[in-house]
Parts: sequence; structure tokens; C-alpha cells
Amino acid sequence: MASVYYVNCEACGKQYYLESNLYTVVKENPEQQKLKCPFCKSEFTLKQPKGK
Amino acid sequence: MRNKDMHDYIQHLERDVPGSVVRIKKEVSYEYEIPAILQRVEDRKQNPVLIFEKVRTIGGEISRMPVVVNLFGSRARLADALDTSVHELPFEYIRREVPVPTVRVDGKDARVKDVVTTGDTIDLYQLPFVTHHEMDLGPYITAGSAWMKDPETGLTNCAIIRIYVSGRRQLTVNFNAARHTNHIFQKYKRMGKNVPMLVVVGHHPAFYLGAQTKKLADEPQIIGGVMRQAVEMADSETWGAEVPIPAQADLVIEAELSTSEQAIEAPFGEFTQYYGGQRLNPVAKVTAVNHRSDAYYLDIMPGHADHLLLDAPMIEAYLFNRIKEVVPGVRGVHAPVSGTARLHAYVQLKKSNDAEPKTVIATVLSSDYRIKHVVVVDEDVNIFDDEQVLWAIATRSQWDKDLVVIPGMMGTRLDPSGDGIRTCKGGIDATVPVDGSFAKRIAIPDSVMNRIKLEDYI
Repeated sequence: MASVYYVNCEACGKQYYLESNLYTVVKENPEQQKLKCPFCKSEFTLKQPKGK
Repeated sequence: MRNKDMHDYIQHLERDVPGSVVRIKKEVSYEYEIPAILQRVEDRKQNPVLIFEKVRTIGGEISRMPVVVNLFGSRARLADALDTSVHELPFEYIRREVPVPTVRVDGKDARVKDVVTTGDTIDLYQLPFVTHHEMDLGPYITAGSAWMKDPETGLTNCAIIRIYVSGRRQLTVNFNAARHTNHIFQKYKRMGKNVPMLVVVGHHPAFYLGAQTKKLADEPQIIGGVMRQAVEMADSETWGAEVPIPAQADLVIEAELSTSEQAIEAPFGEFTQYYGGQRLNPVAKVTAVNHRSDAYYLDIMPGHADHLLLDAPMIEAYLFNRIKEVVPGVRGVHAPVSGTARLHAYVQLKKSNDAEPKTVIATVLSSDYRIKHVVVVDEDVNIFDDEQVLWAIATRSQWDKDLVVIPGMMGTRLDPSGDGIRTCKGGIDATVPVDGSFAKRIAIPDSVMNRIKLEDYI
């Protein structure tokens, strides 16, 4: 199965997922790569990304 | 004669096909409401073109452009656009898929040049881009045909790709490793240059059908073939005659696509009816926006018939031609909406030997990276009827003999069951033996069927 990597938005707490090309970058630089929540539109970084 | 355009086609529908166009005058938001209304219409098993005349944009204003959706949501409408019947649609597409050189027109004759904005006056938030699904990152251009010229061959490739409206003068463009657009992008990247990109939104359905071609050609010329008119082209604002734009489109956005800068894009609800996950994709800075003074904004509803059907005639035509080179007895190909019009293919065959079905399967699976499952049936099975195809599988196949499975082939990464661009493909031979040593289908005598008229009895 295709891997999707679930994350929780730091602002609203809702969950969505990343594809592998972004997850790889986040895993290497979790505090530098910004993500954007599709629900509340906040930008955030992950301290420690969760697995799939 | 000026190119026929989307307005001509909508006028034709409103005049000649009563009920095929519905205009909505009540105000709607750019966010979710247009898709919700289309969903309600589809729940009633109806599929008219919807024109929303009062749309509040992400910028907070009422858009000057009405939004048109579901233009491609009917196979009958696509056939009508090519002056043909539903069953003849792929064959008519094949007949028209020939290059017709484009023609240049002056800016004064190009309706797309009625209104031109450049530089700091560009504000994409004034346009009625739609946010479709709950987990979409934001508004997306879904009917944007992205045009990019190959720097080596000079041929222009046209591809409908999802484009996130990531700022007032910025787009973030989704790339798929398997597509021609990515090959062109990589060439510019190796040259250290950005890509001149056009996003063409809104034109006659024949224009869009032509733009789906898989031929390795200058695709605007193929569009002209399918339209049966040379496509009129005018100078772009950014690059002039070097990168011309289709003169009778409703909207053309000119942008420089960066080969070095990436940004967040997605999630986005895709043709599979699942969301593609958030990813990094290239950024495009918008340099000019051209549009008709009375432009409609065309939106395609992702994951619905409006989205799925547009590709189908091209896929069917392409596969028919590929199969015919190897197995001449092919009678028809259908990419059903039930299989997203991309992942499944039904092939109708008049076979001359029992090895042909698996040869057809191998040909189809290697011809289009998206096709994942193929069913081959006989001439007596209607490939436009899912029930008949399933019946053929149920009664004419044994999977220890008739199944083909090929793991590790190239597929679409948007298939959530795959592994990136790798997927396991397969096909079923659901045909009867060529020597006829098979049970006979039930039938009511023709003489009786021809005589019985229902109104004489009920």
C-alpha cells in the first residue's frame, strides 16, 4: 500500500497526511520544514514527526 | 473564421439541448458550496452544466466571472462537441487527431486580450478559484491546461494538472514523474532555467479534448485537428511571439515556473476520490493575467464525471490504435467511470485465436501507465455496460487460466493501493473459446421480439 504519513496540526490538532517526498524532508529537518494545515491554514513545524 | 469557444458551445447547449444548462443566481462562496450543489444535482442522477453567476472569491468580493462547472460531465456532451455519437466518440477522436498548424492573430482580434494585468496589479484572489473538498489545502485551478514548450524540440505539451493558488501572484504546480510535463521540466532544470508556462482556462470542449492527446507532437496543432480549426494564437505579454497564447480562451495565466524553488502543496481530492497527501512541488510566479471582458471561469469538479470523462475518449482512442497494431480484431475500448476512467479498461474483441486476449492485456497495460486492470470480452458483451462486463467475468473466466498478473509496473502514485509509482497490474480474459465449444446464451426468438409492442399489452 502507498505510504501516507499522518501528522497533527500544532494549532488546531486536526490530523492530515503527508506524502513520502515531504515526509523524508520533515524527518531530516523537522524543525525547519514548515507544513501547512489544510483545515486552519496555519503553518507549523514538527518537533518529532509521527510514523505512518 | 474566429475559433469556436466555450461561449459558443454554451449558447448552443442552451438553445438546442433544453435543460442541459442551469444558471444559479443565488450567491455562493468559492469554498465548498459549488461542489456541494453539483453533488446534490448528481444525487438526482442529473448532469447539466451549472453556471454560478454570483460567486464570492477568496478575496471577499463578488467575482466578475461566473463559474462554469460540469461542462465535461456527460459523455453525450463530449460526443456532441465532436459532432458524433457516444459510441463513435473514440473513433471520431482518432480521425481528428492530426496536426493542423496554428495561425497568428493580432491582439485586437484575440478576445483573451480584452483585459490584461501585469506586475503589481495582478491579484489572483479576485478570480473565483474554487476550494472543492474538506481536506484540500485551498483553492485550486482544476481546468487549467498547462502549456510548456520543450526547449530542445520546440514542441508544446499541454496537460491538465492540479495547480494550487498559493498566493495573490503565485501558483504551486503538481508534477507527476511519469508525465511529459515532468520530462520538459527536467530539461529546463538541467539548463538552469525557469520554465515559461501558460495556464489556459476555458475554451470549447473540443479544444480540451484535443489537449488530452498523447501524441508526441506540437499539441496545439493536435487541438486544431480535433477542433477542425487551426487554433488562433496571439503574443503573450511576458514572452511575446516566442510563447504565444490561445487567442479565444477565456483566461490565460502566464507564469515563470521555478526549477529550483519548491513549496507546500496539497492535500487535494483527486480523481481516485481519495486525497493526495501534502508534498513539495515547484512554485510559479505569475507574470500576466489575460482574460475576456465577459469571461467565464471554468472549473472541473475533481473525482466526479466532469473530471473523469474528459480523458476517456483520448485513452480509448489511444489504446484502440495500440491494440489494433498487434491484434487487428479489436472492436472497441472503454475506460469506464466506475474505474475512474483511467485505472480500468474494457476491450471488446473479435478474436481469431485464444492467445489474443492475453496479448491485448499485455499491450494495454504497457501502453498507459495509469491503466491497472483490463477485461477482454467478446463482441456480444456491451463494454459500455458495467453489468455486462461483470457478467462476462462471472461466467466466462477461470482465474487459474485466464488471469494475467504483472507486479512492479509503472502506475499512478495517486492510486492509494500502489507503492509510489509502482503498482501491480492485471487483466482477465473473459472471452469464450474461439472454437465455439461453450454454452449458448439465452435468447427470445427474434420473430417474437420484433412482433411484440409493449403498448399493446400495458
